[in-house]
Amino acid sequence: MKFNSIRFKISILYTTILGIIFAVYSYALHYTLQRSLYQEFDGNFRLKTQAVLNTVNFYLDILGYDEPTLIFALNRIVGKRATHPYQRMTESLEIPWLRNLDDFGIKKDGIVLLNEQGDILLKPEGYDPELIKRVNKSQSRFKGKNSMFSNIKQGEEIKRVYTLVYSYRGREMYIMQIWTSLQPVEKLLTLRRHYRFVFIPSILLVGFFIGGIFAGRILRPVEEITNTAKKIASGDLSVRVQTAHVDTEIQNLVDAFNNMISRLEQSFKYIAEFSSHVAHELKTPLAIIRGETEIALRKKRQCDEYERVLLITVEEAQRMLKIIEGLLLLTRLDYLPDAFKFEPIDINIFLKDIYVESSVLAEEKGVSMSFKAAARSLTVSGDKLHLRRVFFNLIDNALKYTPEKGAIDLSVRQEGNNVVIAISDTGIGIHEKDLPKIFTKFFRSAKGNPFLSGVGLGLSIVQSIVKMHNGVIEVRSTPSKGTTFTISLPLRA
Amino acid sequence: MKSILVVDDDHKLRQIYSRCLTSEGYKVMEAENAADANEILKKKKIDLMLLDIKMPEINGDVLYNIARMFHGEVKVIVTSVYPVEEQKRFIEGANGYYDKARGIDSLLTEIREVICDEPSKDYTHN
Repeated sequence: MKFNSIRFKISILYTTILGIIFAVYSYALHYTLQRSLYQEFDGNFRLKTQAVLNTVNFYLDILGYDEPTLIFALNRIVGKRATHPYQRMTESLEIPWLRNLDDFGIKKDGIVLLNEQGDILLKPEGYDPELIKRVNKSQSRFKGKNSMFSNIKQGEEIKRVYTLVYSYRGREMYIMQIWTSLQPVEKLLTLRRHYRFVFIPSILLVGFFIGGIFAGRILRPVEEITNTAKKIASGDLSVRVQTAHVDTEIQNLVDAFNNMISRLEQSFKYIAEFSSHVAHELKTPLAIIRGETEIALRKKRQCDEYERVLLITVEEAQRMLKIIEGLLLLTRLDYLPDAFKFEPIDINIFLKDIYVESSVLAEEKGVSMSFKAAARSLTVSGDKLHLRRVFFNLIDNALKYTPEKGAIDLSVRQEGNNVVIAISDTGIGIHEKDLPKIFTKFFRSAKGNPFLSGVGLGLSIVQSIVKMHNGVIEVRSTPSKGTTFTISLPLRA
Repeated sequence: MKSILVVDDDHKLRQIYSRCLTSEGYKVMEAENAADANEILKKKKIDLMLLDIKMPEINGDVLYNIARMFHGEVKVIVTSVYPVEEQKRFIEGANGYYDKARGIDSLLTEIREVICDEPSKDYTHN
């Protein structure tokens, strides 16, 4: 996976999003867990403290209230040896009290007692007075409540300290701190934290690779497009991107790409065909001109021999011009659809005009011509200039190959949603085996069928124009009986 | 007198070659398609055939193969408007190749080279 690849970027993005979601989620989880753990912990802590206070009160009730008795009671509660002048009075009673407190684990805790001025009256061994004072100072935060919880780090251990104001039955006030280990809670939270530090990065790592795999799958067609483009660059235009079950966007890209290649292939084919035509069809007249001229130049000739050669030269030059014009026109027709300007054409009127113009030529040749319009007016969408070329070309051909006294019939009729125009002649006809090929560029019949003695582009041009009008051209012919061309064009909607 | 058969569908080109070669002292015959050419090959003794590639119905390469199979002694110069390299791809192993646009003199040179390759013999013509 390259660092500047889309695949890598998608994977990174995917992983980042996953990471953020996990971070937020695990923070929320941690927060709620901490809250509920503390709540439970503090609830128990309160109960324990209440039990401590009750027990202290029991002691004071029996032994009488003074400060040493208070300290004595607190010492007994955490299981320390202590002496009191009347301690015999409580000896038998304190067993159930202390057992009850033992259940709370009070012996592991530390109890600190301060007087109202903040002097430490009682503290467990090893407790740092500074720490105690620090906890005490934070009591300014009490504000209205007479107890509060705080956390403090003692050595390596975090302690939960419950600070409260204690006063025996309305006497002077003391400040009592109960220090208990927070280890069970902290241990659980730390464990969770450790889990998080292992769990999230491994999920993200897996996520990164899964993201990479997904991105790779999505982008695989892109790779295929690249490979196809490379193949095309090396000259093979027949290749296409093959896809199955890809996403819509990629499918659209692939389709667009394949279409583009099809167009390119078509254009290249056309260029190849065009250059082959130019080479073959133009070189023949060129060879004739050169041959004739070179022979003529070999020695002095008669004037009419020069004239013959010059006439051939002009003839061949004209043939070349026709070929070039025809090929250029075909290019425009086949590859530049903008060359057509479509407009509504009333086909009866349109063909009537053509009939009137061409019947003059027919008369000169001694061929009779007729026109049969359709019963009702029929409109097609077409390019007048190009359609004129179609019909004049066909009528011209018919005239050329219909002998004197022959007939050319022009007719228009409607067939479903199409206009069908037929041009029939009683001419020499076309041989059956040539019929399928007469629309091919530069096709010339064997045995020199004069029907096709031009440059061989006229009928190709006619067919191209009809195709651009979404029409169909067909031909039927019987040699020495006549030929019928039928053009069917869709009616204008 | 050496006999040459010109096979080309363009009658103007046939006439040019025919006139030129006749004036050079060759006996010239013409055929406008492969079928006619094959008939002539069967009946007459031909030394050299000028063979066009692209013709209606049967192309020159088919006639070339027929000539090689049944009239092995006939020398063949391919004459076409295609460049010589392309002609060689269409018809392999002909005695000579000639691009029609190169002019008459170069055709005559090509013909002389191909025909003089062969030790001279006496021919009888029908």
